[in-house]
Amino acid sequence: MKHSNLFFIELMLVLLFFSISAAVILQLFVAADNRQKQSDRIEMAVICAQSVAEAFSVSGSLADCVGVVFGGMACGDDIHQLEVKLNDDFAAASDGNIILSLSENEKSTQAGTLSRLEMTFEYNEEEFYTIGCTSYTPRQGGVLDG
Amino acid sequence: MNGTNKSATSRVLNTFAGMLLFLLFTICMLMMIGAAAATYSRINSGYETTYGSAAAIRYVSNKIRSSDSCKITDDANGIIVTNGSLITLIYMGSGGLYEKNVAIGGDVSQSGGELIIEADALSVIDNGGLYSIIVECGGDRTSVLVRKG
Repeated sequence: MKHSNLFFIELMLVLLFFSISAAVILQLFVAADNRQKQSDRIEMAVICAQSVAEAFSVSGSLADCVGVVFGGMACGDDIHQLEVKLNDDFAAASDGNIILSLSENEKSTQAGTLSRLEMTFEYNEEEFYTIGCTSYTPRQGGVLDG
Repeated sequence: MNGTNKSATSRVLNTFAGMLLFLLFTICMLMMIGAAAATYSRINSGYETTYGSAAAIRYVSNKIRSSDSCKITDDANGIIVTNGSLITLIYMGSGGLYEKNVAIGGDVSQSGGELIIEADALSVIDNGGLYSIIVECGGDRTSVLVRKG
């Protein structure tokens, strides 16, 4: 009986040790999975930002740029501050859980207009990537006009 | 007699309880191994598709940006970029993207190229002042816009 009790106590201790180890290892795997998903999101956000920047440099206006890249699926009352909802593939979707906030600042000079576009990507209300780009539109006739 | 029966019963119960604990331990370990394998498989496949398509997109878009001029092939499955006296053809071949470098006036047919990256499909569309490059890799579709010129 004594041997049997000792055996069970030892067995319980072994099980306790393995349970704690399993919990720690599972936490590590969950963290690795989350890190991989975050890394994928950042990678896709960079590619999406590249498309937006290229379209912005060609069109010179935020509204036209959003129309080209996302098919006009943006919301916002101000044409200089728009939001686009993206799905996990970073395509525009009304029920997307990734939010791209676009903010345009224009500065007019004698030679032309300098437009700065700030892009911010959010997932679950947490910002995970932000980048800015600039587009310069020279005025017709430039400095030589009056 | 009764004492003997009780002793035998308690021995059987002790053995059964021990085996049950081992079984419980084995099941927990197998579940943990299954979860770990599933997580690793998901991470691995996600890495291959994301970084495969992202690398292909970046390669093609960098080629377009660094070129003097660019033209889409007739089947929209490739691009022909010109840099000085060198013409580079990037096209979709069997199993991936292929690249072929020829001098001006050389053969720009979609054969004889070197495999640069694995992909399922490539299409390049003229979108006004922009090229739209779409790459499919492992079921995932990634697209990017690149300015012309």
